Amino acid sequence: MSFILQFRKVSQVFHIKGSLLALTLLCAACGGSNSTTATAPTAPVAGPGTQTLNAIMAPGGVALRTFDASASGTVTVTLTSTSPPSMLLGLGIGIPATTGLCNMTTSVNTRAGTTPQITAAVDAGTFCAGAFDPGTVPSGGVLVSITVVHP
Amino acid sequence: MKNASTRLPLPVLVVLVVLVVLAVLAPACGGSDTPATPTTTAAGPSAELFEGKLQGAGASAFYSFTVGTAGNVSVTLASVTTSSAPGSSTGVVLGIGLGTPLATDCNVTSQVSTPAGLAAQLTASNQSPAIYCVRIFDVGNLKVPINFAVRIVHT
Repeated sequence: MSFILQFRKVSQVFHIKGSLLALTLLCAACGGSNSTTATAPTAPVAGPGTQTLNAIMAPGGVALRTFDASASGTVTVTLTSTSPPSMLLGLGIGIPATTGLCNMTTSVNTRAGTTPQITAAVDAGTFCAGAFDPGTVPSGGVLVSITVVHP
Repeated sequence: MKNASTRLPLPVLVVLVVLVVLAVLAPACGGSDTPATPTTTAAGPSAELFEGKLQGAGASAFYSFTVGTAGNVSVTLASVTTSSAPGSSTGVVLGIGLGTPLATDCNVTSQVSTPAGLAAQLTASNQSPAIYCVRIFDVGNLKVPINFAVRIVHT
């Protein structure tokens, strides 16, 4: 009899403890969105920016980069360096073509420098800029570095 | 007659209480599964590209597009080149116009003569939803065939 009573007490204790444990676990599992930090998707940052392009351009080739202007403003394009140095290259700006190339609005033949060789007023939208071979690129190609600053 | 048969044993009572609490708490769980109120994304303007070739003196071409909601239409003559080579952009002045299709032509209601640029040369505000057209044409300067690209931004 004593044994049975003892068993009942133990059984009750386990029931109560087990129930409390279940409650604790349940509460810990609740509120999922509050217990973890949600990672928001990263949206493209709108605003002014600087894009750089480093590429090896083959003879007769082009090296292009598209960019998004977030607002109306001024875009500058600078052929910052070439290797071999001091090469005369074409530099242009325009809008992307359906061919994947660039419908150039304006272009110049220029050498690398620190002052922008092209300055253009643009509306918000997608544009492209880059270098092309005006017939000067040697068979080994040329390494070009271009910087585009846009609104 | 004992009333013990109607009285629940303590362990059973505890289990019942826990089940009731679980039933109350369970709907409150899984907050992250609650669907968020849909947010309406404002439709922004769309851009269309009108590319083609004018063969020479007096040539013209047009392109039709649909304005879905009332808003502005901007037209940019973005590129005029004498060949497909990237270095062949030219500053030749061409005419661009905005209007509505008429039979097999484009009835231009506003127009401008301009060289290529990257900011809109022609803008029409508060255009009603309808089909419009952009016309590009020689204003007397074309001596050779040219390739052109026009960007049209509209709602």
